[in-house]
Amino acid sequence: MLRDLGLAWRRLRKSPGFASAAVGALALGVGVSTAVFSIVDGVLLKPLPFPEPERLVMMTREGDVSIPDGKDWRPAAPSFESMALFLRSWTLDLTGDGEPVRVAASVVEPEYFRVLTAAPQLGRPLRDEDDQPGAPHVAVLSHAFWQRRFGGDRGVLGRSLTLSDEPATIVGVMGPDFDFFGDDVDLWMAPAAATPFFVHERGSNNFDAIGRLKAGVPLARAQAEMMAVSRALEAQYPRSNRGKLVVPIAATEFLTGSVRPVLLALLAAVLVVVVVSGANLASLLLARSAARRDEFAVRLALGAGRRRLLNQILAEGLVLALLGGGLGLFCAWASLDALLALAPADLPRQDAVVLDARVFAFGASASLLLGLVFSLVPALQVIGSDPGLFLKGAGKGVRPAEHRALGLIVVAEVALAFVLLAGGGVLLQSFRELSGVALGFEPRGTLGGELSLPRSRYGEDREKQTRTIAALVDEARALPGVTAAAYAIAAPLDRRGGLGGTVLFQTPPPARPVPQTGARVRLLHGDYFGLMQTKIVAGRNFTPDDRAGSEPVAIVNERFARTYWGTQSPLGARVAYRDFHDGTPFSMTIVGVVEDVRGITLGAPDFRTIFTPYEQRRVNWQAWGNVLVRTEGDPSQLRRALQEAVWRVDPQLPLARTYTMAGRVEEHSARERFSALLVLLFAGVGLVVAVQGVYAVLAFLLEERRRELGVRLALGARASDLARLVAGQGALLAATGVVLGFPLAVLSAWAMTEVLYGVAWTDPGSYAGAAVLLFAIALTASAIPAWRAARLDPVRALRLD
Amino acid sequence: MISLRNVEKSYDLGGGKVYVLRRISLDIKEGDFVSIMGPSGAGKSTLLHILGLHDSAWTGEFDFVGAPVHKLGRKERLDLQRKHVGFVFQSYHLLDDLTVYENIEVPLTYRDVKKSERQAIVADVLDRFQIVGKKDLYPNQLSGGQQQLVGIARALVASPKVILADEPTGNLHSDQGREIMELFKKLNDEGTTIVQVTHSETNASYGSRVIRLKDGWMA
Repeated sequence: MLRDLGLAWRRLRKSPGFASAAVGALALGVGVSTAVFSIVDGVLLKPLPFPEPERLVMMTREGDVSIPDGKDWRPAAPSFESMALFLRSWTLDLTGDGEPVRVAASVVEPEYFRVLTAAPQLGRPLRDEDDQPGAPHVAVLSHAFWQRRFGGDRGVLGRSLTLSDEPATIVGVMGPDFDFFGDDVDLWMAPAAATPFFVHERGSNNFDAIGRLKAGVPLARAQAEMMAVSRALEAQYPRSNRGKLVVPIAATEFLTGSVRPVLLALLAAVLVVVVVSGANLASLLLARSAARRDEFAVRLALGAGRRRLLNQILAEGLVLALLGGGLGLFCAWASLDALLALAPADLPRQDAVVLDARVFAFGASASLLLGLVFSLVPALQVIGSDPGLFLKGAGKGVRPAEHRALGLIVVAEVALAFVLLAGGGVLLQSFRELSGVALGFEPRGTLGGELSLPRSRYGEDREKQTRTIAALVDEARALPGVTAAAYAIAAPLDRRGGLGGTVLFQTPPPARPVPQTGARVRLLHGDYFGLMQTKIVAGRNFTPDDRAGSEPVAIVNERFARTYWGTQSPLGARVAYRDFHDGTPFSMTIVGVVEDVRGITLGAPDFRTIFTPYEQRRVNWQAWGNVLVRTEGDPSQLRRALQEAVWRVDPQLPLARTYTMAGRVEEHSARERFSALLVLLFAGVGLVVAVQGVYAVLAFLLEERRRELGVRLALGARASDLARLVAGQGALLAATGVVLGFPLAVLSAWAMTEVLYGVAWTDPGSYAGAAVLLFAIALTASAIPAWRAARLDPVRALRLD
Repeated sequence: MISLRNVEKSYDLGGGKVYVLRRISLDIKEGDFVSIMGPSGAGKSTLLHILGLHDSAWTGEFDFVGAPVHKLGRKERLDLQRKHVGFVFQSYHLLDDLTVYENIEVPLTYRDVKKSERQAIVADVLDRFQIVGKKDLYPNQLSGGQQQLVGIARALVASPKVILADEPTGNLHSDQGREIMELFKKLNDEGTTIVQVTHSETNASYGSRVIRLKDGWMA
């Protein structure tokens, strides 16, 4: 066998064209399948990093659950060994020890650690006594936060942290795998410490619940118990529990259920790529064996023995498998990070996606399987032939049915590539339209930072809040390179999108005389419209005179004005919004109209919106807002300076996160970009597969037709006649593929109508572009076989002495 | 018509040059019927393909219909071949996917003959060879003799000055072989120059001259 391997290696080195095409076909199949398998394995197949993960169960119900409801579940659910409520994300300001930062906390009942059966790496987990009213506040740190904030200092236990102005003692540090949901949690705290206001509130459905089944208890029994307790609570507390039925499901299902179909579809798509790569490899090997059939025939005639010949061919398959598999595994390894970067941020368990021994074994098996199985196709074809026929030159290499099958494979590959290319083209066009949409504001040169005035220090003191915000904006405006600063609740393209409220018309609107409507209210301080370069189309901007105590004013957006005033001016009309505490109306006079902006998403204009000065707010609608600055240079250079400006006003106040508006615009088109990229990525793979297919089949047919082409030369054919003949076959395959793929492509694009923006699913440019590209590629793939045909030596082709 | 002077062909092998043809000098006049004979490996077919302008890797001087082939480029040689040479193969080499009609038409398509003219010429040839009834059949529906008949019709369709035949009866029964040789004789009588490679003295007896080769030399 070693000798056969050595011979195979030598033969491959002698045919670099064939070897690189075959290795390329294999590497593509192995590389793509291994990379995608690593994701599917990490996300779906690997068990959760906890003991007996199959016993972990998530409670699902419409809306979340409150702590009192959760406490009532336990006695009614004996199937569970343990059960805990938890709030996945809660933010706290960490101050007093280094720079103030906002930390991501997870609020968990102490039993959470027993459910997951996870011991801390350092110290202890939360205990039941930590969750008692009035108990000293304690926190358990995540491994990542411990490393980041404390440099992995083992003496961190017992240290005190100031979290939103409350002291909390560090009692433990968890291991790196403990972050169950991949939420990048910084620390865990008990509800009594972090969210005491939720503890007794039955209607505060903010928590999730996880349980561990007793050993051997089936899920169905737990489901029946939870159903019974849901009904009981529904009867007892109809206001907070009506229709809220709890359904326990396996934790892995909860974590990955939403992405399972997508990943399995991706895996199926990849398997198609593997199979067609294999088919391409088989075509290439067929072409090679057709070219070598005399050699095989002679060897057979010399008594080589079919088994010996089979070994020889399989050795070549093995060498190809090693080379192609190695290259494919390398490509998978090299591309995995890029692939994960492309994946949506909410893909669960991304940490578990690694190229480990399991994935390597998968890739290696795929290589061997592809290399050996597809080598067998030509091997069996040669072995099953009569050497005498070959020696007489009359042996038929492949039957017409096999010819047709090879042709069909290539046509299918081209059709598939066309569907993907045309679909990718339409999505790309949609993404470009979306990126170029008129925003109603200028994102370039704008930096924003989110902050929240903590209740512990600002309480309901509106004057103090207003003073702080005004000082913050003044500090920000004074930064070098800043031309304007403002404060806004909320900034554009924030999915939380400001505050919804009921607006009363005190001056009846002429176009639609209704007493009230729903609208967004956005609170502003400073020259927000000037900063954002949003045009005031009627009336005036806010001025410093629009302060607390002066005549309340409002600016509405065009959509609001158009909806209720039609073509007339709303200026001077009086509207009011209700105070949501006592319901009394708060009147304002409309003094201006601004152009519509893309307030929530890029795809649609903002809701009907009323802007009012922050100083004139009646109540504290919400604590968080945005400091915005317009800069002369690159706004991202000012992140640190903006935070320091905030600290000059309040040294304990962190900016939760800073963002450039341009970046936010990009984020909002990320889903579209991701879809377009993913489809184009597959289109690229499809294209490569199609090129390989066209090349392999033409190379094969060239070998099959060598005698015929020789005869044609002897009958007077020019080199160009033969090149045209071969290239024409490539063009015919491509044309058939495009024609067959066209209805599928149209159907796929039609199915995507929902996600398209500014481009029709019938976009002719995308289809024409895909067709032209495929033709060009098919002709390029035909070039080498056509060139070989043109250089054919008739004497050799006709096998003369 | 054909004049070879000191034509040689060799291959470079590891141990040195191996000659297939040595110092071949011969003349073939228009209207000749020449048979090239000799044992296997003597270089008969190689010589035939040099004469047919398929092979250009040789040395010496070769004049064909007044043109110095040894000085011509690939394209000029091909033009010369298309204009003057018809080729008949031992194993017929008909194109499997084409009908009898289409097979005969192939050389005309390579000579840029218009379709209407092609139809007339092919019809005439089919008639002359009495195979009109078989024009829509595929090669595998014909006997060996019939296939060779089509092969000769195809060689003749472009009205070449010379027909080169490589063992034209090698794959045929003796009766069929005799018919083919009769046909060659008839064509020769009508003015076509014929050069055939053959092992058969009987076949050679149809010609006017025999050139014998042995180990690449003219005997």
